[in-house]
This record gives sequence, C-alpha cells and structure tokens, in this order.
Amino acid sequence: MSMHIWLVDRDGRRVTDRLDTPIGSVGSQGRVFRLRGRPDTVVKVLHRVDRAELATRIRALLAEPTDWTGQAGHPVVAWPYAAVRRRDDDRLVGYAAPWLGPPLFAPLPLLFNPVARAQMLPGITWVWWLTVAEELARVVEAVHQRGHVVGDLAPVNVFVTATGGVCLIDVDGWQLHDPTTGVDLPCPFSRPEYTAPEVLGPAPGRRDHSSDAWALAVLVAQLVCLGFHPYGGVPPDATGPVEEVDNVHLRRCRLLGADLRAPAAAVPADLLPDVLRRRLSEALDAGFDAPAARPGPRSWAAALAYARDRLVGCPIAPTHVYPRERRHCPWCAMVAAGAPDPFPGGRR
Amino acid sequence: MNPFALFQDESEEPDAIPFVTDTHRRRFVALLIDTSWSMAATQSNGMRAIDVLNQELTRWLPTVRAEGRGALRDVEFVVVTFGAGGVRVVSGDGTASAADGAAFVPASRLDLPTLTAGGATPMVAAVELALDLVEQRRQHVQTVHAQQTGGPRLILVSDGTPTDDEGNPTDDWRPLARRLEQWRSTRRLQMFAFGVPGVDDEVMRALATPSGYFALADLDLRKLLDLILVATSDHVDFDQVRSQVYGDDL
Repeated sequence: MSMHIWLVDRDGRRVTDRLDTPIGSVGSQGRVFRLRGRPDTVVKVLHRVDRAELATRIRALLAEPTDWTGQAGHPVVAWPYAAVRRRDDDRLVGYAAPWLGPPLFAPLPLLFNPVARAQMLPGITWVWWLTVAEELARVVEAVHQRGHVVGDLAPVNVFVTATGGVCLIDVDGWQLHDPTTGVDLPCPFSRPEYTAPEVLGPAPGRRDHSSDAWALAVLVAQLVCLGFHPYGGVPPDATGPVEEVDNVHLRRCRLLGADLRAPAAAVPADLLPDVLRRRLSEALDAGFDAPAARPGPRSWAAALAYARDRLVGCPIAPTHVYPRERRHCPWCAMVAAGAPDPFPGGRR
Repeated sequence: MNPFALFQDESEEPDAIPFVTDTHRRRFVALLIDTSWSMAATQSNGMRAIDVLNQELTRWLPTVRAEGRGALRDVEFVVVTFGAGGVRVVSGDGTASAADGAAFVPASRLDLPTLTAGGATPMVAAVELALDLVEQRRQHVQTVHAQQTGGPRLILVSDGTPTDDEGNPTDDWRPLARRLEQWRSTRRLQMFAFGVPGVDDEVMRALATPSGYFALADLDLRKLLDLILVATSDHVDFDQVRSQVYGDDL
C-alpha cells in the first residue's frame, strides 16, 4: 500500500506523504498505517459509511487543542493533529495522530501475556500494575474534564509505558464534545465486556461519565489482576457458551465473591485490598442499576495510590509485593497452583 | 521505579507456556479451506492457485502468530481442508480431536503444512466436522480448564460447489444450512464465508446468510487472507468485513 495522501492541519496547511505498511490490531473500526516520510505519525483510515458524520467528527477533533501531555512529558491521549485526504480526489479518509511504539510504549494487551511481560519488563512488581491503573484513572478524569466520554474504554485502546504511564488511542470512537457546536457526537461502539449495564444493547444512546466509571472499575480490576477479567469465570451450572457479559447480566463478579469456576492457577479471587474491594463493590454491585453510585476516576486514583502505599514484601521472592492485610503471598500461591511466576524477578 | 525505564526487546519466539493460565477465556476459530482440484486448475498470475495460497500463507502465518501474542491471544484455531485427501484437519497434530494438544492450536503457535489440491469438494462434511470439533472443544475447555468460551467462529473459503466424496453434486448443504441457523440462534455461532470466482453463491449464502457471505471479484489470495484475519478478530461484525471487502477508501 503506498497511496499518496494529504495531511491537512487545523489551519488548512497541507503536506503530502504516502501510506506505508498497515500496523496494529486487526478488525478495529479502521486500519492504521505508518507513513513513509513521518516515523512519528500514524494514519487511521476509517471505514465509515456516513461521510458527513466522518467530516463532522474529524472537524471536532481538530478544533480542540492537542495539548495532551502528561507529567512525564509523554502524550496521555494520542490526539489527532491533521485530517487525511486522498491526494487523487481529495476525499477525506481519516486522520493523523502520534505513533506509539517501543521502546517507550507497548499495547496493554501484550502485557497481559506473561511470556511477553517477562521479556519486556523483567523485574517489575505488582506496583507497576497499580501505577498503570492509577494513571489510567487520572487520564479518564482529564478526558471527563474536557466534556468527553471515552465510551469504548478497553485494553485494546490503551498503550502503556515501562514506568506505568498510560496513553489512550482511537479518540475517534469517543463520545466527543464538539466545542464549536456544543453537540456531543455519539460513541459508535463499545465492547460489551466493559460496557455499563444501562448502555448495553443495540441502541445505547447518550453516555454519561458514569458509564465510563463502570468501564474504569472493570478495567482497574482487570489490571490489578494482571489481565484476569473481573467477570471471568464459569458458573457451575453453565451448559452453553459463557462470556463476560453473561456474568454481568447475572451480577456474578468473581472478585466480589460470586461462585464462579476459574483456572486453578488464576489470580486469587481474594487478592484485592479492602480499599479497592470496597470501590469495586460500589461500582459493580451498588452501581449496577444506580450509575451515580459508581466511584469516579479521582476516587479510583486515590484508592490505588493508598493501596500502593500499603504493600508488604514476600520473604521468598523479592519481586512479590502484596496488600498488607493478606496473610500469604498471592503470587507464591499462583506459582504453587501451577502458574508461571507472574513476577519472575528472581527468588531470595 | 526508574522514571526513564524503557521496554526491553520482545522476542519473536512462540509462546512457551502450553496453555496460558491467566487468560480467563478462549475463542475458537475454525478455518475451512477448499483444496479441491479447481485450486490446482485455476491460475493466478501464471501460477496455480494452490501454489499462490501456500506462498501467501508463509507471509500470513507470522502475522497471525504475532497477533496471537496480543490481540488474538485467546484464540485457538482449527484448520480443516476439503479436497485433496477428503476432509482433513491440518492444524495441530492433524487429528480430528478436541483434546489438548490435538487439532486446536493457539494463534501464537499456528503453523500449517504445504497444502495440496485435488479431488472433490466435500464442503458439507468439512463444516459438519468443524461444528463437532468446536463444540467438543468448548465443553472440554469450559469443564476441564474452567475458562469461558463464547460462540465459535467459522470461516469458510471456497471456489466451488459442494460434492460428495466421489465428486457428485449434493444437496446435503440444505440440511446443513438449517443446522447452522440453529447454531447461530442457540450457540452464538458467527460464520463468515468467502467465495472466490467459481463458487456457488447460492450455497454460500444459504450457509452463511446473505450478510455473512462475501463474494470476492478476483482470486486475490493475499487480500483473502487479510480478510480472514479481520474476520478472526474479537467483536468484528459483518459490516466491518464488508467495508474492507467492497470499500473504496483505499
């Protein structure tokens, strides 16, 4: 693929480039390409049937300043900085945004893989996961302050850094607040296993910050469980296919005590310290049909920082740290159950 | 934590862990490939279609394995061919078994032998076998490994018309279409069918429904394999595949 394109910034300035090889995960709402002439940029070509809607969305994206830089100097949102048009007929096809990749960034789902994690982040502890979760909460807070709703808040839309930083991608899928018109452009799709009950279904309608609060709770729980989804697990009476969303409908969360079968070597169901378990219960139990009861991102960030300050070390493995109120090391328990050491930094 | 830490290089080696324990779910993708005589007879850019397919598979498989470390980490493939040698499992150890280490392999370790073309088009028997295998695998993984298993994905590729083992046209696809319809409603089956020139459109539409059937205009096997990868991804719908088959964005 080497199509010639125009990059058109918010002031209408044009530069030309050519699409290079496609990258990224398959099957998203579009395809992502590197550029021949700009290694720091990716282009997302969107497969939208409605051209007018695409134009409105990209105009809204470019109308907002791109200053999404976090404390560490890295972007926390890969905000688009130019519209992308075909050079031959000037048709709008997508947008250009910062490229995220190694050695600074990695896609979060890759870090859920214990083999890849051991290679890419040797020596990390549970602190890294608590930090990622806290940073994620802070980024979602910043998104909300600007009037947007992430909508499809899920691991595939999150990149992470080795220091626990977070950057959100695929901004075009947000419920975007258009600063020019004051209109909220709808979020077209969200993965059901992260979607709040009130917006599950074929026509979800407008989303509130509280629907992000549901997704954030699910994602925080998944992060601190190293990738194990809080609605993972098989009900003992299951006979047919089971997915996370089935457990959502039945209000069966393994971390909140539901009777679900899980792999013997999975992260222990009683892993969470009280401060996080309480928040999770508010979000998923009380918050199931009362969205306002869900803790917001600021509350999650505070709870995660609190939990990180109250860890103890394992006497056997120096990379094993866990909540102070636990009597035994959960990571040693996983190893004893047959899992690979989740933090294989070496044993004492 | 070192504020300047960077990610270490990730190896390209396949996953060493035999059955990943900390993922909470598995998804099963059955890939059914037509290897009947027409794949040897049809030419694509001066090469036999089956040779082009093998060539493109060597480019495609590393991409699948790379995705298998991330986005397709919870996917297990079973690959069934129908044509040369009848209905054959060509993934894993090549046996028609849903046991661990048999026909199903994680995306991160998917490999295939060189495919050969010849013989009839026992498509119906191949789909029946795939349905049986994914159901057995679902029960095994859910019961023995306590991992969630959603609905299976069937991806059918053909350039012909279903026949019996001897090459006689058959109407067996009609009851199969009814079975597939039942699977869609009760077992969350999602089926994608790709037809390359020479295919019987009526059969493919009946099996995969009109929305799940994609007729390709030419024998572009690289594009076909890319579409298969899209059809493999989580939460993909027919419209997304359709836009990539027929879209004119690029």
